[in-house]
Amino acid sequence: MNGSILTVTGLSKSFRGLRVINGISFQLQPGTVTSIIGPNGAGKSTIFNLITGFLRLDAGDVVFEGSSLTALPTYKISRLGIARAFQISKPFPQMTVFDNVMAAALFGRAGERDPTKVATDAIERCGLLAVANATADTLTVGDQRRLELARALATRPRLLLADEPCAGLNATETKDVIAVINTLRSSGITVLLVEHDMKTVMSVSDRVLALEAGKLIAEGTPVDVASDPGVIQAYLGVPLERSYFEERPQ
Amino acid sequence: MHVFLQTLLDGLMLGGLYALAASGFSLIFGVMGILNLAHGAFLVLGAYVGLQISQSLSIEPILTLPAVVVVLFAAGALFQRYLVQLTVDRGGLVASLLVTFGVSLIIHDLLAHFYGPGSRTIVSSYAYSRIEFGGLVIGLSRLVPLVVSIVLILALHFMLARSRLGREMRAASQQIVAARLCGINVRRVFALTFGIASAYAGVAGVLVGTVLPFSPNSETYWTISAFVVVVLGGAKSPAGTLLGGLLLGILNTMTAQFISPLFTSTVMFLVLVLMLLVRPQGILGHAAGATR
Amino acid sequence: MTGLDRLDLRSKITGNIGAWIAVGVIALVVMAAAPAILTPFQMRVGMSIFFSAGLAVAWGLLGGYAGYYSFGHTAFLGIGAFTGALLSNYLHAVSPLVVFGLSILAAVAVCGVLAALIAYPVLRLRHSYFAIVMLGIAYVAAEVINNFDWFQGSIGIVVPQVVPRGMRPEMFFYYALLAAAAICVVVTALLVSGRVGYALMTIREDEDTAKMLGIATERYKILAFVVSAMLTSLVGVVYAFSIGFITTGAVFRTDFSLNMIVCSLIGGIGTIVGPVFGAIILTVLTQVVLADALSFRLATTGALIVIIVLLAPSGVLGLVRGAAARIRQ
Repeated sequence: MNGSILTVTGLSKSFRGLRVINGISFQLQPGTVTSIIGPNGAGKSTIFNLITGFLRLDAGDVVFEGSSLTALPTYKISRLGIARAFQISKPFPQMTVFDNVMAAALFGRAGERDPTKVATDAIERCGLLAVANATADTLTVGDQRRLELARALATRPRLLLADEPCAGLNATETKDVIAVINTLRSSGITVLLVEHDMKTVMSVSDRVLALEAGKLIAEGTPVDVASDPGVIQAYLGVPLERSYFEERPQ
Repeated sequence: MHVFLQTLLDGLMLGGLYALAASGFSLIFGVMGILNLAHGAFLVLGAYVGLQISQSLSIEPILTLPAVVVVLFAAGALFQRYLVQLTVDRGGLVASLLVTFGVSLIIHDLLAHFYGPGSRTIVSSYAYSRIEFGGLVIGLSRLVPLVVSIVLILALHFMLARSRLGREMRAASQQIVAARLCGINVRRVFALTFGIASAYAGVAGVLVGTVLPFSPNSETYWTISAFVVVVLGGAKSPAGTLLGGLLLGILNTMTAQFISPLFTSTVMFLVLVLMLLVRPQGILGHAAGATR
Repeated sequence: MTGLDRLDLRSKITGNIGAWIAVGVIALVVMAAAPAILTPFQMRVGMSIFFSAGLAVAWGLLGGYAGYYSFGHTAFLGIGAFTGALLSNYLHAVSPLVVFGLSILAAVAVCGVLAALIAYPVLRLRHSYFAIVMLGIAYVAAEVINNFDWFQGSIGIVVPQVVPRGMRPEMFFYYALLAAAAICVVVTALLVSGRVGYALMTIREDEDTAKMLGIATERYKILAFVVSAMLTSLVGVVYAFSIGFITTGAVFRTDFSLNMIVCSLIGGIGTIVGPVFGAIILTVLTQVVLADALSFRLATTGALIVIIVLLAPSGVLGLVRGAAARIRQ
């Protein structure tokens, strides 16, 4: 309804009787950046695993541009136009940066005619031209993270799921990654982000979903969510203004 | 009905042997995550050592077991210390697969060179003795291996559960670094694991030799059957190995009796494939799973 | 235009195809002309090289590119050999070359179907389990062929002569094995130099991530497995005709399975040139240098595998390349 690109309704998942995701519903509007926040174990990564078909959901439905994803294998979901960048970069270690991205460009969302151009564009947009012929296992952590994004990008996604793309990066590298995410949004790609760093969340998100123990406890603009008493109580424990809005020394 | 019960009984007795033959393989896999493709070769090596000693000294095969244990323990521990560990350090688990495969062929070839490629058997004094009750027949040559197998598997169980070495093995299997930090000499534990596993293989080899013919060529069969036992019973515990062994034994005798003796390996293989299809997550008792 | 022109971005996978085609054609011409000057012994060594190279390249399609090490590929060699041998004994009336051709087609087809049947369950396994299950498949296939009288595996089966009149048998089989090896190389090269090559390599590197990029990993693994099995059986059936009499023990040989792996390891895994060079090195080593130690064939290759894994995990060629790179610096 109302033109959302991804509609999640009543999403539920249990592991051995433990409910990790408990009836979560949300919608993503095209061309927006939405962040999922929540303490460790709240179920953030599980949501990604459920959307991308790595895990089968117990109940609920995930609809992407009108088609249900719940019974599809991972590779078909990718072909519909959903890409994922992992929290821990998983480049193909023995392949060059170019071949890593090229593999994504050759497959990914259906209907591409010129994979070489797609791969080159993705490498350029993520600032990896200088290391394009290096093998992936020789890259720095920051470059590996950008490769992760470039590869996701080369699948020509309509929706990008990024799992803590800034975790473990220093300030400059974080800024680079945020810049990439902003260009993605401006080129019309919808982004769903799992992020711990509230500064990043506040600066990049259009909307924020706050999760606790598998339930959605707040949803709205970053400012709304950050000032939501439930969120402060459950997740942050301390008022946001004090702990996260201040410049922290790096 | 009588035939069925007799076949079941035969299967249980054969199964004890399969379990013992697989227990070392299972131990190494459980503790180190290594599929030791030389396991069958160590088993057959044990059989030849037992045969050699019992023939040279003209003694009862079962009395050679202490000597076989010593020889195979040393061989296994040295193999781990000087080859497998080096391989795992340099190339990881796939490399260890290649190296153990290579070593199995070396042992195979050396045995064929010294003893010839033909089949051998180890004849015990009780080979033709049997007990009968209620119309069922139990050959002593099969009962003795079953009893020895169960005793040894129980011993392995209590060693793992109660002894200091057992606790160290379990710790090392969980987290090598953490185990090291707790003051465990992981290398020593791994070498002992291989030594014990090979000693078990050696004992199994002698017992196999008193029941079934063996040749250098048999090594592949025993490696594969150990794998099947582990798939059937899980690699978590000696109890699982015992269960898997008994299942395989019953499966074998049932196939031989009711279908055809020619089909035993084929049925074993079909069961393996079936297990892989229906238990993709549970195979080998590992949470991570053996399949995708 | 984008960085492609500016920075000479190119794939290490597809590489310089033109140069390789040229090298391949030259090699083929040299090999085809060589019998004019080779002694009979050298011809036999050449045949062994073609045999090993074809098998190693076929194995490498699955093992080297997709990373699924089969320890039982001799199953397909043996099944191919027996299919050809049995069929050729039923075809009496037709001309020898037609018998030869039909037997090859039948062997390759049978192996393709069998491989397709078992592909799904065995390829669901992670790598080490796949390796050991393939070992089991070879064992069971050998036992079935040995135990059922119809296959004549234990007593052996005579394979009819198919050499055209007036041609020396070793000359005929020299060219037949050369052609089989060339087909293995060409088919593998065609497959891996495009999308399929990328798919297989991503499967080798990280199968879950490959799926996330939209790669239907199952399908590509099955493709590699089936084609690899068919190519292996092609070499196997030609081999059966060349030796004229086969038993189970002659074609289901663990050392064949091992040789395929060893050749790839010597030359470097995940390439086509690697296994070919590996086959040359291994054959020259075992048949010329160590010809007297033939009673220890298994032990020799077994020891070789241990040495390579420990000392040169990227293959002898990788070692040479590494040394060359160091010298250049």
